[in-house]
Amino acid sequence: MDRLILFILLGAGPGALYAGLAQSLVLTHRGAGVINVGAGAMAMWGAYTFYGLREGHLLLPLVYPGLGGPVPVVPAFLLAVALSALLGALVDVAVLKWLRTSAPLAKLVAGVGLMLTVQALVVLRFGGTGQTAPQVLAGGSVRILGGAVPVVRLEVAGLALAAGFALAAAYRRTRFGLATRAAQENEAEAMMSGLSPRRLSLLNTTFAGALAGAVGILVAPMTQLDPTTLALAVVPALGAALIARFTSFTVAAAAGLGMGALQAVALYLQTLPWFPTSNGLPMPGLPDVLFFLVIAGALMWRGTSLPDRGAHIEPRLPPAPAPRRVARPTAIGVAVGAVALLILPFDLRQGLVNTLIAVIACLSLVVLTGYVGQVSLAQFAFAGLSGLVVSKIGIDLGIGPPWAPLLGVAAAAVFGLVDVLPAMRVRGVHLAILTLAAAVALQNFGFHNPSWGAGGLGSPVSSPVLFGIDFGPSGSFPLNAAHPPSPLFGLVCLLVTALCCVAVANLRRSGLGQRMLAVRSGERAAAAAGISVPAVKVTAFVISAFLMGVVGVLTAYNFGSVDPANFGIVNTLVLIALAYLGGISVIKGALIGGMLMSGGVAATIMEDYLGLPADYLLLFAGVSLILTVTTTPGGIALAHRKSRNGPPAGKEPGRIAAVAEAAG
Amino acid sequence: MTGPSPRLEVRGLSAGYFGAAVVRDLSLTVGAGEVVALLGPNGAGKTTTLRAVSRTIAPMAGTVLLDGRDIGALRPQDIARAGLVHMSERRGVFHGLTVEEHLRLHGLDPALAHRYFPELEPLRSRRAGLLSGGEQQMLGMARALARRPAVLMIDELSKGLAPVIVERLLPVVRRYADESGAAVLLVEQQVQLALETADRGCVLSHGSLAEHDTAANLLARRDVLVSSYLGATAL
Repeated sequence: MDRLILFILLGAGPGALYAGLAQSLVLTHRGAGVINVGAGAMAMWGAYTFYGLREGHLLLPLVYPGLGGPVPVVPAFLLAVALSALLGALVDVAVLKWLRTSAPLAKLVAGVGLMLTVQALVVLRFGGTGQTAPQVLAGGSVRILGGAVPVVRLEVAGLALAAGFALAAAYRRTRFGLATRAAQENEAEAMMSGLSPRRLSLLNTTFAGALAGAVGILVAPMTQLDPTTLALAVVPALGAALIARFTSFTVAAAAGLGMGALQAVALYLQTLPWFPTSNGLPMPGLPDVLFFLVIAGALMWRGTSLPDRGAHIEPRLPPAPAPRRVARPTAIGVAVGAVALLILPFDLRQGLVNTLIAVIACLSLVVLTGYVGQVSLAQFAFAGLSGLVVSKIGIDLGIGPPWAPLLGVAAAAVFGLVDVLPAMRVRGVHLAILTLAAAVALQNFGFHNPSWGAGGLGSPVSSPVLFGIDFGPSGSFPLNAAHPPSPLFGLVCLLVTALCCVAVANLRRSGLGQRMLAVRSGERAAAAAGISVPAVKVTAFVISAFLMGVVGVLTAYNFGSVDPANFGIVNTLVLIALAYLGGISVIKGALIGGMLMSGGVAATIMEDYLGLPADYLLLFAGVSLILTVTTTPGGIALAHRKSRNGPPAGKEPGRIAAVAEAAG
Repeated sequence: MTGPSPRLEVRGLSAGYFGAAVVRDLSLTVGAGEVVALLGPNGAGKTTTLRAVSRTIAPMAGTVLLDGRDIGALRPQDIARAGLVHMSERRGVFHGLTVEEHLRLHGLDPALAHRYFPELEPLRSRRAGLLSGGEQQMLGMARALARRPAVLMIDELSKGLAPVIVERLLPVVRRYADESGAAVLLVEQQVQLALETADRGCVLSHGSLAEHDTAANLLARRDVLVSSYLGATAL
């Protein structure tokens, strides 16, 4: 019991991080109506800024000028917090300002873009590995219950709690706080009262940036200063903010500390003798599974009553026109692709194979997000599962094609069915948060688990041999097969991708496609029109998971192993970014997105022929996602429609109507 | 009929939604201390007129002068601060804020608000969402009046309220206009009550001015009112 309490006290460090981030999330939501998934990344930027100052450098995007010597702790802390506040202000002016009338999902996706951008900037500067974070608060440790607890952990937890009480008081007492609450409830009415929602949003987001930066700086020495740990700390923070209904600062602070304690309990359990082990080490990922369960519980409990901002009409997603011609473009595409696979040099051929696989991944989002309006941040978990099935039954049971790929895809589709269960109750933004937590839990509990996952090194995949012919990338082929991938594997990928495109095109033109669009534009209205909303959602999730299953099988054969690095949360975030950039609601957009995907044709040309490092692709994905969501919701594929059909959906007329509806 | 410089002047206003005009080429003035009732059937463009004047929707054409000053370039919040208060059908209250917080939001003196509506005093710490419709309307009006607007526009004061409360509220509007010299533009469905309070009446029909006369004259010529509401040709 004593040891448990000791562990919980040690959990105060990460708890403070979650508490601070949760409050930052509440601030951004109250001020700007946005759930900022990038809050963790903003904390990370603050921590790296502080690190840079202590090392004698000023961290700015893409430049890192020297300052002639390390900056002392206190000025460095203040400067880093000020720069974090500036980042918050910049995010508001450059991103959130343009999203005021966008669909809630677009706002969330913009946060994903922010996260990717900040991560990319950090990776470009410091690489993917961690740094030793400099201490801010001094202090030794106190002996509690026979163990040493660093005072710093208790201090930061106290500070996070104090911040919660201070913010709560400010929102109750000051005119700024009252005005924010008023604008949060109804922006149009607030404007008629002489309040400026824009200014309020800017101030709140600036505070949110400062808070995230401060907590990042303070807690980095206790967690880890690398490009992912702090950024993904947003997951438990989202759980805490959900419990606080994105409204109460004190509840957010307490729940954040509670998430820290929960993590500590999980770590404590891992030390117990009965805890299941795998390869001699305790099973990884339990904290992430607990976070997921808390978020799921919070959504079931309070998720239906998140406040809106008084706009009664749901802003529209980009148009999803039905494809008019299918046969001819498909035939031309397949012919061009086949010739390209036969004559291109091996690096571009590999790029084209990667692109073809990525197109299917983008198609899975076209169905789910473009047609049904749901966002899943766990897409590559489906692919990973299907890849693992192919790998395990291939190696352990000696089962190859055609059964292994079929079983893999079936496993992904069944898992999609499980994943859709929360979507019965939870929709839109909440579903995205839930799938984000699920993706992190699966990554750490599933893929990194040596027993049933891929472990740290990857799980090998045997080459697909059918009728004595090796269809895999290293198979033989009479033409151009000196270097892998073999053109035959490319042709298989081309055929599968073409089939998927035709299937999705026909889906959009079918009655089911009509029903999907009806659900997207309004669940209640769709239900009133006699459409079974749950059935449509289930079908969409299963189709989407099925497509990701295909991606998983092809990726497994493509790389010859199932590596967690190919199926992680970052892969999904990049996928969403590029699918949005290409055009989330049309097949042409999936083709464009696939071209841009990491390892795809565009990246190969960039790397091999233009000499740009691949890390820039992450930056490009993040920035372009933000730009797409804020300026061209339809993506590249629909960009030309703007001039032809008047303003894009969800822009100016929506704004007027939103204000008018809110006023009326 | 109005003073030398009207407090609110609307010239050639056109406004609507999604590019379709609801109000076309509307002109009207409200002088100091004057109450003007804006009447008309559903869909005539009354609410749209108020929204375009307060710029909560962007007008398509026309100018709006507040005390002789063109407010066309101002944002809604700046117009509100310049002294034009628009009470929407939502009654201008925020359900999450308490009665007292509504007044603190503008740094207003609660005593000023309580002078108009002593009923609000015991409800000070109650959240507006928990007030009755009448109490909410009183709060909205108290807040509007305590801001001492030069021009007050009220949309559907009587909406969802018992007649007895409307009879309590309208005289307060009249008194404020008389005492402060403010201009009041009143959109109202209760034609009888509105014209008994107002000095003049403007009847909108399909987005344009169909009738315009003193309140007394309009009350006396009920057939004109009826025909403009029911769409028949005026006799």
